[in-house]
Amino acid sequence: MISPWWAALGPVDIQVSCGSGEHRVRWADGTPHALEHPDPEGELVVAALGGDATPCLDLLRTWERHCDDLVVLALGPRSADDLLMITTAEIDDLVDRQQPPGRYRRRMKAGGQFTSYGGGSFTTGRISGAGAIQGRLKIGGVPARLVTEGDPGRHELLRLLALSTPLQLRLSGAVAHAWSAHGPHGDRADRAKPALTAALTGRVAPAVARWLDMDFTQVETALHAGVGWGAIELDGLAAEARLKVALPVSWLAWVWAPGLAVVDGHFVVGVQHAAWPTAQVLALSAPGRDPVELTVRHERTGWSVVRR
Amino acid sequence: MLGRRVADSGFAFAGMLAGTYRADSCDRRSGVRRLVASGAPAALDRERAETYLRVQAEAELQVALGFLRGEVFDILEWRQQRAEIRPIRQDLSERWLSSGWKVPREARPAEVCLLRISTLGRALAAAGAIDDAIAADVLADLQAAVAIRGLIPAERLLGGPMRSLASLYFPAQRLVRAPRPTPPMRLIPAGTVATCAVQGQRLRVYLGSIVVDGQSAALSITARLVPDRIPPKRLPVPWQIRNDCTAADDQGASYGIHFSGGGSDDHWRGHLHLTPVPPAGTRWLDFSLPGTDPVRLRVDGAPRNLPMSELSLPADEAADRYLDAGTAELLTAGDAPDSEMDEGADPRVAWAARGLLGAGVVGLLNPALRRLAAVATQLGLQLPAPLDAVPAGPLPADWLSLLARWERHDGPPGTVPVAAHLPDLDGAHCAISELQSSAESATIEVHARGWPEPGDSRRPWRELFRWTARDDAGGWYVTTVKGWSFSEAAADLTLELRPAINPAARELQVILTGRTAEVSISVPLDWQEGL
Repeated sequence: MISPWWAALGPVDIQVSCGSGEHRVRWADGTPHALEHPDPEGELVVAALGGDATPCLDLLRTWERHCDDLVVLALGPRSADDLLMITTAEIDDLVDRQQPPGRYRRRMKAGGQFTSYGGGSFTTGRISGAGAIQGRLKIGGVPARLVTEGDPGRHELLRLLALSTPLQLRLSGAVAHAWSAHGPHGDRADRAKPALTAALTGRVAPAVARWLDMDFTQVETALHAGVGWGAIELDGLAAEARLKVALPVSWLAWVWAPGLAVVDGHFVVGVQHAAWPTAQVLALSAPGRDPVELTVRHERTGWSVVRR
Repeated sequence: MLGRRVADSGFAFAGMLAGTYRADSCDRRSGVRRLVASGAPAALDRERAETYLRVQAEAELQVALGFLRGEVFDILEWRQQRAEIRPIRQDLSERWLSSGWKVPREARPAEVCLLRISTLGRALAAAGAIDDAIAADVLADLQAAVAIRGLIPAERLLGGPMRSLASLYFPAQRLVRAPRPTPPMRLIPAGTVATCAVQGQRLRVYLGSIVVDGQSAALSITARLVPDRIPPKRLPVPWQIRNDCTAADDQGASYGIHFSGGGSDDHWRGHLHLTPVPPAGTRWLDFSLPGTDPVRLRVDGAPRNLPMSELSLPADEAADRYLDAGTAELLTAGDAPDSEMDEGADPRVAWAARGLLGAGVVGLLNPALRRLAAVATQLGLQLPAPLDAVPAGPLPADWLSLLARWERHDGPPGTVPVAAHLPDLDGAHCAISELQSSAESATIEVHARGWPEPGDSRRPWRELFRWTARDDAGGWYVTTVKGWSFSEAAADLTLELRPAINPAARELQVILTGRTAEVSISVPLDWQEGL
């Protein structure tokens, strides 16, 4: 593929309370950028030497820690409609209940929003951009006790996932890319084959359900590792039908994450070239047929075919 | 010695039926006979098994989210019916409704989904097809996935590291591989009956065995009111025993005592715990019970040297053993619905069997599956597809003996102060302090070190350890955990043995089966006067 995995994904902005003001963190080109922090590396060195915490940079670091974390695919959305309902306030509440009294200070801002204090904390933000989700969101501090014991990454990851659906999809895409043939972990993806197969199954099946009105149990998914885009074949009829789907992990990054899985009745199996908001894709009109080239464009209501 | 008979008697479970055992060695010092399985275990496709489990978890999540068609109703209605789940936001509910998401009509679909994956993960781990850690991870991930979607209360995410939640379902995660305690556990058979008086009420007390394991010392005790008067409505007698009982040793040191246990209005069983622990070199302890002379128990004797045996189990038959254990449970439980399931639902062993079949761990003609099919036929249960295609096989002789005596009420009344160790097994060191028999059943008191922390209290330790017994008259016995206490990797267990012990039996082999081996001890049934 010529285009990078994120080429069909539009930018997403998050507003983060950082220092004394509201900062913007923009996800673009496959990774988040702290727009008000032109020298993040330098600031990280200063922070490591005892300087003030910078929530914007904390978010970047958390992203970096989890952009190849397979747990993202286990917890994250299976489709754009699959909404994670837990909020950062709930996570903070749960974390609070685990804390010995006095370890964390927390106060309520006017308007009922949280601000938390503690090492590695994020803060409030507002999401805008391609996701078009408005609302006040907040990620609280990662408790020191959980950082030093057990599995702190899970709580940190939950906070990241609670930011917004568009970011969840982008993070999932990043993880899928990391474990695809051309990703940084592609050479050891065999070891993660069960988790990757499950991740693919959990996302292909809802898409197929929408495409062909089939039941989840009628879909059999396998990882495709050879040349070409894979295969989709239908066995049997009606209730006895079985749809056998073989797709590479990269399908999750290039196709599923941008929401391209099903466009105008076509099942997209690959992206040939993309420059958001347009993309040239390979798509099937029905199982067993050869894929056709389509040009699709992202509009307000989602992707649609603009040229066949 | 019964240990040898284990290898030769055509024992029910698959490894035994295969007859692939040979005597390997006999430790002359300990007298432990060791038998090993011959033949290399067949390779399991672990990747296939893990993939199957993970894909099943995905399927269960989809079920919980409502992708499956069928008998469904509105997810919004479902959520609003359950007060413990917070109201969903209007925008979300609208998106759900517009997308047509439905959920199967189940009481708590996400809970059932978790239970199914827990069962499947346990079965695959017990079969050796996946590691315990993977099973725990998959369950923890699914639990987190349904929690963050609001399908179970968010509080379920509590508990520190989320994987510790899964360890509740997988006690192996918390198995403490404790070394044999130093100094070693001391077991002293007492077997003494005394009559004392509490608040004017005569009480018969049986002092069984003392177990001292370095950190605790406990004397097993059974007490029964002598029915010569109506029991007064006062403090329960065990509390009076605790208040009025004292102990002192030959060095003049005195000990505090507390009682743990339970019972009915006129009959109690439990332990008298001594504080501090009597030091090594203590020769005797005098227990002063109210209304009678002190009862002196010697504590400087050697533990009983009863015949023991060890048997390694073939790894490639772990799935069969797991299924057989579940089938035997089903056989003895009859068609009573599982308390964790809706009435009429498939028994959990069927879930496990279907999973093991789907993961390629067993085939349709697997002997353990055939035994399950036979038991289902006997109980009139319809197994779900594809298990309904499994041909019924013969029931093992052990199971037939179990059924033959299941309703008998002719157990010999009495007690045996066993006070003997079993060989170590999978990091656990167990001692049997006492065997008590009644007409209906029998109980075994066990003290265990290196014992896993109880997780799923409904079936504690089921996947790791299983207790059974066999007598020298050809009878087989199964156990259920009737009571337990746990502290710092040590546990006291009360196991109920059923059916009632055959009065013709003269020896009972008590068997502890782990994942890789089983150990046993042969107890002569020299019944003492019970209460």
